[in-house]
Amino acid sequence: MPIEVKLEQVQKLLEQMGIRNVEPTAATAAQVKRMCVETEKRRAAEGYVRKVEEVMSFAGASPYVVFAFETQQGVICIPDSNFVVSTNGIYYVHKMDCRGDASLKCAQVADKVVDLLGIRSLISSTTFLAIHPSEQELCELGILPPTACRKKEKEKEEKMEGEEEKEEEEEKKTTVVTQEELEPLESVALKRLTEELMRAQRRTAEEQKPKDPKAALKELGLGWLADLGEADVAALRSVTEDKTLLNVLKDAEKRNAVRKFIESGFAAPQPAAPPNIAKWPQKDVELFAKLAEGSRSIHELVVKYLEAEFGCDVSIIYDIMQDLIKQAGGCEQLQKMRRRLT
Amino acid sequence: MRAVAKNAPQVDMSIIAQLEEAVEEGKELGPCAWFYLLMVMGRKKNLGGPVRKRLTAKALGQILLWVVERNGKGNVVSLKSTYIRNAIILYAKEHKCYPYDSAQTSPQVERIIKAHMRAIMAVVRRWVRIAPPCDPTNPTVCQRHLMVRVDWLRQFLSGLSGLA
Repeated sequence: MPIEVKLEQVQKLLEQMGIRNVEPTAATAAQVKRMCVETEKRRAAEGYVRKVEEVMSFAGASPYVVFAFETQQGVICIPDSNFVVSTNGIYYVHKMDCRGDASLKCAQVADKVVDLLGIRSLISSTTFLAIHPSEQELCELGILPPTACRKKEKEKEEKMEGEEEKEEEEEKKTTVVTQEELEPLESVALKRLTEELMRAQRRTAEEQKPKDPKAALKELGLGWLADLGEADVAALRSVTEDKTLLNVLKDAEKRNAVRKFIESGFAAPQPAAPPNIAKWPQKDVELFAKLAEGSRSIHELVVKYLEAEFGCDVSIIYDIMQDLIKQAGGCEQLQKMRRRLT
Repeated sequence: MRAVAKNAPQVDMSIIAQLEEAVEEGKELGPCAWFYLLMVMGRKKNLGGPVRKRLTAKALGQILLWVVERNGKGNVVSLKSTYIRNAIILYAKEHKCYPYDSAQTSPQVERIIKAHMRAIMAVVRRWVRIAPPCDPTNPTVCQRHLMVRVDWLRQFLSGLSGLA
């Protein structure tokens, strides 16, 4: 596989991860060795070196791509500096600043790079942890192998179990308390509890006492019902005792029908009669009632009254009266004329 | 509701039976009643019988509900024995229940709570078992640390009506 293809793939990977400012720089094997911290001590073993050579021969120039992650502890390289086997080769170093908050992103890049270079089996958790020291986060992201995470989790669980057992032991231990020590406080608590109970029972008994029905209605916001007359109460009682109407009212349609019936069944309130009529002589009241009964207006009532009073055609009297007032030049003139005549 | 014949002979009920009846009937007990109940849990003879788990749950529920409503911060709460003990003491202090009506601290109360802690924690563990996991990605941790979501706890304790 030509080197250019691998470099392109590396650029693509970086782009995919949203990293744009990493440009490869060329370095010799000696420079790489000087730059990188050795994290994988075991790589010195002969077997591992052979394995790296196999990877190199299989993937062509790919191991020549080096990622250098700059951390607080030094520069961690992937592949590790132990992988540098060709002293004559050119190494394309991609340097990334992984100090501070960037460390997690670097660990993610390292994870992808390991896959890209096909050297997963050669990288241990130590390298990833050197880039980003939080084991929990690396486990959560699936960067560390599950075996390593399970081991840690198990240890944690065992520790927690131990804590819980300890706590339970403490609970058990404290159960043994001499009765004498607890006597006074428990006695008072028992006394107070009994008092509370009695108070609650008294309160309930008071609540159950019959209340003034009118006051109870007012408390419930039904004061208008409390002001009903005897007849209305009797009607209400018969309705509620029968319960038929209450059941009917549960149905919306029937309830509306009942409401309409009530509204139509009661005539509009009648205006009260003039109060002084009651003081009139009985004869006049009867006459007024008789005249008013068939009258459609006050004019008609007056005409009828004049008919009754003078016993002749009302329209003539009406016309005569109007002519007289007209000719005299108003009521006042007419009165003056009448005064002069008498 | 229990039907009682008008002429039935009056039987002296034990305190615990009266208490259970009062709770079942929804009678309003004073706030300190729940604290006193947790204090006298071990006095079977004086109470006239053992305090049943559901009554303990009711008392503890009332206390914890008050504490949770009052505190109101955080999403998750760990119902470990220390938290429960502190909650009971805080409740008693705030409601001025004996002996906190006259004293700021009471080692005796703390010892009684510790003495009853096993019974109390049995109730708490049962709640934690039925609670939804506080963290769906790691339910075992929630169970182990007796962690429950505060909103769930509030809802659950509010629903602990009567002795159901």
